Amino acid sequence: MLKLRMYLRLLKRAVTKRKSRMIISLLAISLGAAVISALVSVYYDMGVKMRKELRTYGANVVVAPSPKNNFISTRELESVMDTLPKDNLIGYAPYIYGVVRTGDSRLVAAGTDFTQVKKVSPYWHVQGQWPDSDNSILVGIAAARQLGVETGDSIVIMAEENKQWLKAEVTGVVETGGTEDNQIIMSLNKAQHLFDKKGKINISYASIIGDAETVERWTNDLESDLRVEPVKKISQAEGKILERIRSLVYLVVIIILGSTLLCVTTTAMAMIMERRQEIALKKALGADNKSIIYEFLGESTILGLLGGAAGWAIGFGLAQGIGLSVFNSLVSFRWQVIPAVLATAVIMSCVACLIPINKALSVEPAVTLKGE
Amino acid sequence: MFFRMLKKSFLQGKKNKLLAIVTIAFGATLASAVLSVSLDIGDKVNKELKSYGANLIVKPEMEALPLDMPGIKIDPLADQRYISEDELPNIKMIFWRNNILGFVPSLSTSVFIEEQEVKLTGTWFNKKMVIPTGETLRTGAKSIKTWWDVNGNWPADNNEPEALVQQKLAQRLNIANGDKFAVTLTTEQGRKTSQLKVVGIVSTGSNEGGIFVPLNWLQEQLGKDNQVQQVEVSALTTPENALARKAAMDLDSLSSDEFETWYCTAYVDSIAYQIEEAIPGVEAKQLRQVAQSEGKVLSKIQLLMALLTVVALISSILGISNLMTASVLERSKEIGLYKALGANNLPVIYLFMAEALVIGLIGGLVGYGIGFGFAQIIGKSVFSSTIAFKPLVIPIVLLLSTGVGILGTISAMGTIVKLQPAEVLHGR
Repeated sequence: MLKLRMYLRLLKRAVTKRKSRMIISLLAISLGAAVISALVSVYYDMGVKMRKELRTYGANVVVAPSPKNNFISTRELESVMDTLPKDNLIGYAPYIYGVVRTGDSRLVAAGTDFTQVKKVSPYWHVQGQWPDSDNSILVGIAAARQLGVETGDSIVIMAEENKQWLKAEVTGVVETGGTEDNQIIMSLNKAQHLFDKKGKINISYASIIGDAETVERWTNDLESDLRVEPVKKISQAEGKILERIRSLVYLVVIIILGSTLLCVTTTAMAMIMERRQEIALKKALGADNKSIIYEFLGESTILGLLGGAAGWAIGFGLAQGIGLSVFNSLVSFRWQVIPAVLATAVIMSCVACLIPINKALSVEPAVTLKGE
Repeated sequence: MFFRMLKKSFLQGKKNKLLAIVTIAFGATLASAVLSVSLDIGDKVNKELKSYGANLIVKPEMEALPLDMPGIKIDPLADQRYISEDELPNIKMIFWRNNILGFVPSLSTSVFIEEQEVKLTGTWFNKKMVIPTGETLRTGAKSIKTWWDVNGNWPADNNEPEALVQQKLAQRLNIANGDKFAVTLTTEQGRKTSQLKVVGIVSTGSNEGGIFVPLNWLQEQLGKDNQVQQVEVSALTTPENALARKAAMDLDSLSSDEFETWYCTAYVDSIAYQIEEAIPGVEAKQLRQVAQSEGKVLSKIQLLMALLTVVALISSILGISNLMTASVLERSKEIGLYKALGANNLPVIYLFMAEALVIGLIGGLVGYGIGFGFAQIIGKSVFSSTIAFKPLVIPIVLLLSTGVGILGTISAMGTIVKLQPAEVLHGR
């Protein structure tokens, strides 16, 4: 009991009496811990975040009618999409197409859901406004040039098949570099009405978060007459890119961690080396090697815990900074990081003290105390 | 005398100095590895992003709008215009020729197989092309459409009737590698039937119902020698910035200086502009789906690496400065002795600074060497290519190691000045 009290007192003294040196050690350890906690947090969150970023490449799943059919009913499409977990679905844009005439020109008109298009195909470049009512439309850039229309103009469109017509205001000109450039794009409702295809669509593009295998598994497991297929170009490239980025960051993180650990350990080692005299004095007063080691280990553990806790907090803040500036979203809290960081910090400071102490213990008290 | 003291200090305190050098070398290793990688990352990731396929499309300027409807049918264009195949090498002659990784021309038509309409596309698979500069370039679907999965062989780029058949169509027609089948083409002279030999089954992931044949064969069959409908171009580009957006809104609004900067930067739009200059009568457009996303993803990754680099630098700065402060504290006795022997504050500080400088230089150089090695390991294992040597990294790393070492000494200067020789020498 007495021994324990003495031990605690020694520990307390060691921490409180040597303030400037303690602060340096503490700073070194909490710095190391901060770097570890920031990098580990960012690394574990990166996969999910990067996957979301890569969804800017657009749809990775296409839903087409069964071979016998030319159309999908909106209800069928919804029942397919409902089988997906909500968190994984970025959006799905339905399309209906038909040939229309306006003036002397023949061109394709498409009907779609604009809120979904914005999610699925963020690369659409609209000059002007996205349509906000059934009476406004977008015109592809090549089509606009051909028709000689501009934002703000009104045009009359006639469906070629059933001769129905409508008048609508052009609110914006869209540019994608793809087929949309040659089309007139209106709301799904309006197009279904124009082509007399209530509740029907031709095709739908969906954007789903997940690697190629997940998407493929999902499309294979679907029990539906519809043809649901991954867009290989997109899903394969995504997997490849993600793999590259992840291994890049992994290696960089490992190097940073390794060298931070070594830097901190050597700094702490230098701090202990100067305490030879103290060790010699303790030995002269009758302490055996074991109790000296225990005392230093206790001190290092306290330092490690304090530094680790401070470092974790700083590191979590740092991780949020990285998350916000790179991905515009916070890095999620993972409790597993806390014990990992604390353990690393304690191990770091204990290892840093054990190596020099072993050397110091072989010291002859008389020689050292005399001062060489 | 100063140098003698410096020399003695290194010779006698070997172990401590070695420890300091090792620590600084760790810090410098870290800084140089991460800096080398992140300075070279743009090009590397850009190349990886090419697996999304071409980012530019070149088409003849057209009068009528094509009536393409995705997933439904392809309108065979009656009054289609064409690009001359002879003009294609000019794409490799533009200002940014080295950024053009490759291109795939194509010519499509509808054919009938057993009364069913099927899309037949003539294209380059792995064509060897001679550029006017004398260089040769191998390009085609094989290198640009990396997601194509071919079971069998790729057809040769000549006028043999060899075909790649898409998976779904092969299943429907029940044909396999080595089989022959007849297709009916519509030419200007009327209908004609040709035999094709299946050399490979290809899975391209979407719209799996077509056939790919060598471009030259199809041109010969259709009587459209030297003509292609469109060219997909894969180019390394720079992410868009304010200037690129301004140019995209209205090219004429740029001042001549701005135009020059825009022209001489590898924006996707300026490459498109240069292709339009190189081949008369065509329209080069960016495929926004690939081009825009590429820019976004690239700048994200660069930012992420930049932040990791900053973390790495902070970590090595603090590591080095901690060590320096610690070493000054540790040597208070020595400082006390100098002072007792009559030294002013200044010479003592100089001595410590010179020491820091030497340690920083040695540690920095060693660290740079090791760090460059680490950067190569990263480059090899992630991108299977080496990381380029960037001279910029050396001064940054040396500045970091010596500068921070000296700063660490300065921060401990207060301690040196305050030291009372009697106190430290006495031991309390």
